[in-house]
Amino acid sequence: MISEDANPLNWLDEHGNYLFRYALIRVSERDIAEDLVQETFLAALKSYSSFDGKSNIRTWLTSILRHKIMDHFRHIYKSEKNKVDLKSGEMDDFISDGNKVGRWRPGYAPGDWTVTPDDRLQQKEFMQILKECLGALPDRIASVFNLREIEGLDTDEICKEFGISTTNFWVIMHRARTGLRRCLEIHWFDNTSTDTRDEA
Amino acid sequence: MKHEMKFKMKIIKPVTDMLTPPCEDITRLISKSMDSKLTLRERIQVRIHILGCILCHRYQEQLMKIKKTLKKSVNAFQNDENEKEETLSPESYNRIKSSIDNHLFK
Repeated sequence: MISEDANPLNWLDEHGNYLFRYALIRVSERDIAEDLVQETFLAALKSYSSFDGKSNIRTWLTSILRHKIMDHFRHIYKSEKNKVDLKSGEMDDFISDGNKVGRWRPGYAPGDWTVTPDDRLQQKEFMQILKECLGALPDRIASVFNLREIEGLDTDEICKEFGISTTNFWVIMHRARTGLRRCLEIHWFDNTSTDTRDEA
Repeated sequence: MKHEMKFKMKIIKPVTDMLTPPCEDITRLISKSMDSKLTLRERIQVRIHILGCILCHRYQEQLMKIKKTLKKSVNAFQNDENEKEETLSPESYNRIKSSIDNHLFK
């Protein structure tokens, strides 16, 4: 009765690396990703009897992993040691006093990315830098950002899941995007976009 | 192109700067627009500001580019479209294998 794919003995070989990559791109750390994969298999074995066979095994395993990842992010978000001051540091990009307050700070303003052809953006190297920049975001901010931009949850779902106000959610997302943007500019675009920086 | 830029800087920018909040607030609205619907007032503020401010305009385009590329990267990575494979380490493969075996054959 049991098909080849449904046999739990084959799960690790058939889906292990896929699940690992699925977790790794989201949580950024190898050992955490590996633990999540292990937990996923064990949870799957325990609830195998409730698997209805309507979806395929990979889809089912992935949905279990998604829940594990959500739990992981929720845990990170709630953890005291990951608390970051959302008020501070955020606005290094902008002039903080004088008559130009709130304007882009020279040297921090967005450079011209259009000098880079679009296909270069899809290169492996760019993906690599993007991944590293994601990994460099503070954990708490990254956990919210990842649920939004990688998992594709919407604002309401995330606010409910994490118990945050919509306003704080926007602040966190803005922090994440601003940090990511600057990280990419420094590590990828820096040598191509120095000409127009100081025009603010 | 150069003339257009000069015109923007000299004529349009002072006007749009006067009419709209500073860049710091506009970037916040630009980011917010990617998660939630802006109010009409906010949308107009962003539109007008961007007419005169090439930096905030770039900020907006770059955020969209990041969003798009991130989505593509995640898919490519998950399905391992790169030559370089990311796989479970042999140690964790064995660890997981024996925990599955334990569960099945205990």
